[in-house]
Amino acid sequence: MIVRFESWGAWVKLETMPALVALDRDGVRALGLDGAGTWELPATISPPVEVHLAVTARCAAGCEGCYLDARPDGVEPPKATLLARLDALRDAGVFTVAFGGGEPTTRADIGELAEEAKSRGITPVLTTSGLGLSSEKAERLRAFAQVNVSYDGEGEDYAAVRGFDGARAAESAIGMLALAGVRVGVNVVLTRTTFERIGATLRRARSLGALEAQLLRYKPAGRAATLDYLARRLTPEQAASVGPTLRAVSAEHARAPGEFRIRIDCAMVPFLSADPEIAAAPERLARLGVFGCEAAQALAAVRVDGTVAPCSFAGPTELDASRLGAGMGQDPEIARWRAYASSPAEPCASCSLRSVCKGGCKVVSSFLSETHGPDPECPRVRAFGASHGRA
Amino acid sequence: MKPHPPGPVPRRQGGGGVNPEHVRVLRAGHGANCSSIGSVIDTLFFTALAGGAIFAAVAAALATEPVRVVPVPPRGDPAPEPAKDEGEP
Repeated sequence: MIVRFESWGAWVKLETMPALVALDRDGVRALGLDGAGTWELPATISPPVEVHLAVTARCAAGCEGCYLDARPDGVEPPKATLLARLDALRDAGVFTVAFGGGEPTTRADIGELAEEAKSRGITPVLTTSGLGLSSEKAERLRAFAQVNVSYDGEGEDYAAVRGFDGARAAESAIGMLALAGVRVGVNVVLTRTTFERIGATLRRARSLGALEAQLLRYKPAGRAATLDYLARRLTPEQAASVGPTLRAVSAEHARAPGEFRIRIDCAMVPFLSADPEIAAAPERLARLGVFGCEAAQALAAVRVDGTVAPCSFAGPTELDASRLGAGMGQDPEIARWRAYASSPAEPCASCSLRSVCKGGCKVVSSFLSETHGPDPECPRVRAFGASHGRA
Repeated sequence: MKPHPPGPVPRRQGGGGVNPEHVRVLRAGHGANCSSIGSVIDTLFFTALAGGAIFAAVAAALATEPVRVVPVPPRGDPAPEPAKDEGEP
């Protein structure tokens, strides 16, 4: 296990099973360890536990909703530059690095970069569109702890999100990765079209060899930051039904033999406020490590130019990746992103999910209301607005 | 007690007895998304028995895995927010 002391105890990354555990001080002492050097000092801003590292800005897919506006002629940093960034992540105590881009599998050295991350004690994972993936390339991804393929559904469902039908390529990639012995999952972006087909999409992904599905909220960033976003985002009714929907698909896959896990991304957490059972037991969400908006907290992104961003959808700060460990407390943009969760406005302030949700997606609130305020698409925020005469 | 230096750390005699109440957060799985941070949600709907089995597996791993401590980063600056919230999972 890898232990990172914190003012409240320690983060512990297990190595015989994929899990990250937060232990209080007594729990750390029970392991026979002591964090005195950290515990006796004033609390400081902790570096993230997970970093999203853009290893290229190059991608030929041309997805309509690309949050990074990646292009075929995008910048690709040299390997030495990325190794220096991995050094900085190691020195900051980061546990997991998610390689992205652009399309990271366009790099010939992507497998070597994964090995380099592992040699630094960092778990490497990767997201790919699957376009252009061959059996040989899939073999080169075996050093990754997990590879997720973007898969929003079959045929027209995929096209409804990305503007072209890449479903067949994605399905082929899932199969090739599974055959190569790579642990493979899928990323499913939820729009008002794909939401209605979640059940079929997950069943199809599982039948192809996926072991996990991550459900992602569609976000207004990059090429998706247009008025078209308003027509693609979940309807209020769909947002309010996320809890029961998750309960149903979880039950279905728990009944089936074999492994298949279901995840939600940070931006989905506000939707859980509409589920009375979940909202009544926020401590269960917290204990199971469900993260809401952790931008500039447990999560940070390193952009292709080496600047740190609060998350992959956010703009750059002035902080360079080389100073990730020491610099989180000095950057004003980092502080701005952290501020809302510390003292949110109503209705977040009185929400039972506040400590988990942390106010919802700042990318969405910034796009819709030009501020880091309550997430306007959260069912609770909608209800609060309606009761106060706002549409 | 003297703090541990970075690197491999031998377990103190009698260590390894982590109780469930010491576990503040358990995040299962790796996740592999490069744009937003993900969390396993299906365990929320598991029975108490199944949930207990997961915590038991974690406790067993905590008791047996070799320990390596990562260096404390040169964090330097005190947290501008109230310290009680700092880094709390």
